[in-house]
Amino acid sequence: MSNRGSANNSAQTGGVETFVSRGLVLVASVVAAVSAGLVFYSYGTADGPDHVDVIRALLMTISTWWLAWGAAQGLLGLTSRPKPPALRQNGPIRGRTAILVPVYNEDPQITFARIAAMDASLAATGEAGVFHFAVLSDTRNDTIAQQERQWFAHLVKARNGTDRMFYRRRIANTGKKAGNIEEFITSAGAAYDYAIILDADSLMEGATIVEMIRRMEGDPKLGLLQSLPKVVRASSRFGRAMQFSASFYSPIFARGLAMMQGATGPFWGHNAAVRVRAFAESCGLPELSGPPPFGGHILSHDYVEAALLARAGWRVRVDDDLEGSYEEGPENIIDHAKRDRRWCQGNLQHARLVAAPGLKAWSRFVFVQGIFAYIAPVFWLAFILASIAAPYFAPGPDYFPDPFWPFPVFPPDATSKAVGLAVGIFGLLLLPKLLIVLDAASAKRVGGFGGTLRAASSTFAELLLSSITAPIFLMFQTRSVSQVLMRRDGGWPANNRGDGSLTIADAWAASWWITATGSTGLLLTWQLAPALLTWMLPVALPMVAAPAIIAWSSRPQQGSLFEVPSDGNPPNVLQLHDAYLADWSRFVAEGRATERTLVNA
Amino acid sequence: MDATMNNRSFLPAESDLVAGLPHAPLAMPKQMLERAPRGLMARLLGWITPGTTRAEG
Repeated sequence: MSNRGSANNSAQTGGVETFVSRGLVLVASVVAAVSAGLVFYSYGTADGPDHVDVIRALLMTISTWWLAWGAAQGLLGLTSRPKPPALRQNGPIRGRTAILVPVYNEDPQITFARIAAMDASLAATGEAGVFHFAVLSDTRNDTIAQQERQWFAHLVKARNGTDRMFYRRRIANTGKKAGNIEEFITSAGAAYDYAIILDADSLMEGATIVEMIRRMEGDPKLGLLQSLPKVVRASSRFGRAMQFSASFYSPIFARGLAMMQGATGPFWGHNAAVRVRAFAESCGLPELSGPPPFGGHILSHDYVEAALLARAGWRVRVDDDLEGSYEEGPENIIDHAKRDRRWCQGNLQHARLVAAPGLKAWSRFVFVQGIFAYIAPVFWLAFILASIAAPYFAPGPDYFPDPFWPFPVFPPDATSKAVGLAVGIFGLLLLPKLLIVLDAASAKRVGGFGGTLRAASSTFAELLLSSITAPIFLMFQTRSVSQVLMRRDGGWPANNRGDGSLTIADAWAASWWITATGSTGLLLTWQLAPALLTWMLPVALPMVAAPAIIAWSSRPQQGSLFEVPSDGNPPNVLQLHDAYLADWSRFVAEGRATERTLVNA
Repeated sequence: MDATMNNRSFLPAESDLVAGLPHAPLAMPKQMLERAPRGLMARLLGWITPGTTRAEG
C-alpha cells in the first residue's frame, strides 16, 4: 500500500489541536453564558431581588450557553482551512465496496435514476470494477415494491449492472434503517471490505466515492469516514434558504466541528464510508430495555454507531475537504418539523446511553449536545413565561430604604443592561455568519454565490427568515419534546404537493395552535407585564402569523437570492441524474420498451 | 411516477435481471450499551421505572 505522507495531522487523529479546540470553545461559551446570566441578574434585581430573578438568570445562562456554543464552533471553523488527510492510498483500490441504498416507500424512478447517475460517474473514474450497488428495500407498500422491482430491472439493463447491482426487500422492517443495514452485513457483509452508506435522496460523485475509499485504504484504523453533504435541488423560499445555509455556512461550522471532534467524529447516517469489519464488530445495536420512546430499538442509530466505533478503538472522522456529496432537504417548515420530530425522539432516547460503559468522553458529550439541541428551546420558552410572570413576584418599590434619609431613592435605570444583553445575544447569532461573509469574500469563495454583494444579501435574507421562523420552530420543538415525554404521536395532517408548496389551509391545520399560543402570550403580556410588550413582539408576532409564514415560505423562490454554486454550475452527477430521469420519463411516456441506455453519458 | 408503470410489464424477464446478493454472512454481535445498576441504585430505579433497569447486550 502506498501512502502519501507519514503522519496524520492532529485534527484528524485526535491530539493537541483537538484538545485545544475543545477547550477554547468550551471556555468561550461558558464565559459568554455566565456573563449573560450575571448581566441579566443585575438587570432583573434592579427593582429588588426575588426567586424568579434567580430562575430567569439561570434559564438565561443555559440558553445563552447553547447559542454561544454554536457561535464559538463557527468562529473556530474560521481559523483554519479544510485540508486533505496525510494518509491516503494512491495505487489501485484493492478492497471491494458495497454502495448501500436503503429505501422506504420512496419513488423508485427518481431513486434508481440516482443510482444510475452515480454508477455512470463511477465508471468515469476507471475504478468502477470494485464497486457494487445494493438496494436495501424496507418498503411496506406492495405497489411501490412492485415498482421498485420493475425500475431496478430497468436500472440493471440501462447500466449493464448484472452481478454488480443487487436488490432485496425485507419482509419485516425490524430495527428500521439500522436493522436494514445490519441485515445486509450479517447476510452479505463478508463479501465486502467497505460500504458507502447512502440515503434514498443521496447523490455522490464517483470521484468522491473513490477518494473516500482511498482514504479508508490508506488508514487501516479509520473505521468510518463522513462526508459533508450539501443540500441540492431546493426550489421553495424555505428550501432555498436552507440550501444556501448548508452551502455557505455549514462548511465553516463543519470545520469547527472537525477540529473539535478529532478522531471521535460524527456519523450522520448517510453519505459516509465504513469499514465493514469494524462496523460489524462494533455496531450491533441491542434493543434498549423498557418501552419506547426511551426503550426499544435505537432510533437515531448513527450517533450511537459512531460512538461504538470510537469505543472499539476505530477512528471516526468527518473530512470537510471532500466535495461532491449531496442530499435533498425539506421544502417547507412542516416537512422540516416532521423530520425534526423523529430526530427529537431519537436524540432524547440517547439519555439512556450517556452512561453506556466504555464510551469516549467526547461521545458522551455528543449525546448530551444532541439532547440539548432539542431541550434548549424549552429553556427559552420557560424564560419567556417566567419573564411574563416576573412582575407578580417582584417586591414593591421602596423609595425610602434609609429611614434616616428624607429624600426618595429611585431604583437605577437598568435599560442599558437589557439593551446590552440583547445586543450580545443577537451578536452570538449574527457575528459568525457576518464573519463567514467576510471570510468567503477574502477567500474568493463568493463566486458561486453570486459575488460578495449577493452573498451578503442572501446572508441578510437568511438571517431575517431564520429570525422570523425561529419562534415557530421553538414551538414545534417544544411540542416534540412534550410529545416524546408523554409518549404521544405527532398526528401530522397530510399535506404537501409534489413540490412541497402548502396552502394556507394546510399550514393552518398544522400550526393553528402556534397562532393560538402566540395570541394568548401577547394578551397575557399586555395584561400582566405591559412593559415587556415591545420585547415580546419579535417572538409573538411570527407565532401569530405562523400559518401565513409557513405557506409563504413554501412557495417557489423567484430571483437570484440564495444563489449557490450548484445553480450556475450543476455538479456532474446531478446532470447525469437529470439526464437519466428525463430518459426514463420519456420511456414511460412513450409506453414502449427502449434499448436506449446512458452508459456513455 | 406515471401510473401506467403499475400495470405494464415492460421487462423481458424480471427474474433474469434481479440478481441476488452474494451469500457471505458476517457476525454482528450485539453491543453492551446499558450498565446494569447495582445495589441501592438498582432498587431505586426499579421502583421508579419498573422494567427499565435490566442490562442488555
